[in-house]
Amino acid sequence: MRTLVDIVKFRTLVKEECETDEKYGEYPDKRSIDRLMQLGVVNLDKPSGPSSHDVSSTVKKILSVGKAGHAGTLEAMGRSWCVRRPSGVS
Amino acid sequence: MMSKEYVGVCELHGAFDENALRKWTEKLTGTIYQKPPVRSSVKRAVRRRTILRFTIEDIAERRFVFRVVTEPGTYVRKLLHDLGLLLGTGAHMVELRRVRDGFLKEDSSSTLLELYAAWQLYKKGEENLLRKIVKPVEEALKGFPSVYVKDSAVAAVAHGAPLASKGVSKIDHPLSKGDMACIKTLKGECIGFGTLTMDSDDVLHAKSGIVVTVERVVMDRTLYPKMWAR
Repeated sequence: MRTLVDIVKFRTLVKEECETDEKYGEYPDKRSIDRLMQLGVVNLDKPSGPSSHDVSSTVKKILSVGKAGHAGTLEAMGRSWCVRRPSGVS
Repeated sequence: MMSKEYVGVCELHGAFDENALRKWTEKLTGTIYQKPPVRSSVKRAVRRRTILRFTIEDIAERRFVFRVVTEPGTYVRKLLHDLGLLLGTGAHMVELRRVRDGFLKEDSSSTLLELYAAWQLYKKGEENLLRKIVKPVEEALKGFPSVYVKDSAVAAVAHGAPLASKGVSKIDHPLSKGDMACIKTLKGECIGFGTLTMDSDDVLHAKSGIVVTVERVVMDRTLYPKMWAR
């Protein structure tokens, strides 16, 4: 089933209203820098010369993180911006 | 699935009628059939794609600026090539830039240099700029459907266990069996991604059983206590 989710509007149904314990976890906007670098994204304005792969490796060097990936490549000629994930998400 | 928006330049190979050009872009809006180009990374089978918008923004001699909104997996270069065939002149794409991918827009993007500067500042003890550029992954998942789990189920999912109906607090609707969803904590943290084993309204009423199988975990699994170990 292919649906465009930015056009399909979702509403959130409640199965069981629950509290969350402030002792555990981290609200995404309060994430420690260390963890943010593990699970963060950069909306990067990619220059048109180097490939997405090249830019990924540059990002890796700049941030000295172990993993970085991108979420989309325009065709070779294209000038694009890509999403950088300092780590993790495929 | 999120739509993508592009702006680009196309060059026509012969004299053309402006009205005909606009007519064909209109006709190419909606559902189209497309065969991936020879140089592509996917199987070259004809596919059906939805073009949500295809407009001409500017024309100068044989070149024009276009704007296209499509669903993922659409080859924009091919779309313009096909437009050239329909017009009878032939055409090729000269430039292309993606200006939006889902909710992520070009105007909120940063350059490599800004990222570099932010990291250097962070190393000197100033983290504000880095936080402006590196966003929590959840930011890129805006609009993507989610299942919210109780605190007690977080660690199990973070260790890869399938999500049982008892662990669900909230779920986005409408979702169908087989759809992908983000699994989140009640604080909005992304734990990972999974596939629904039933429709969202069935999840709401399910008394027992597995409702989501976990495909990928991204969360640090030490953030929530292991409730099953008690």
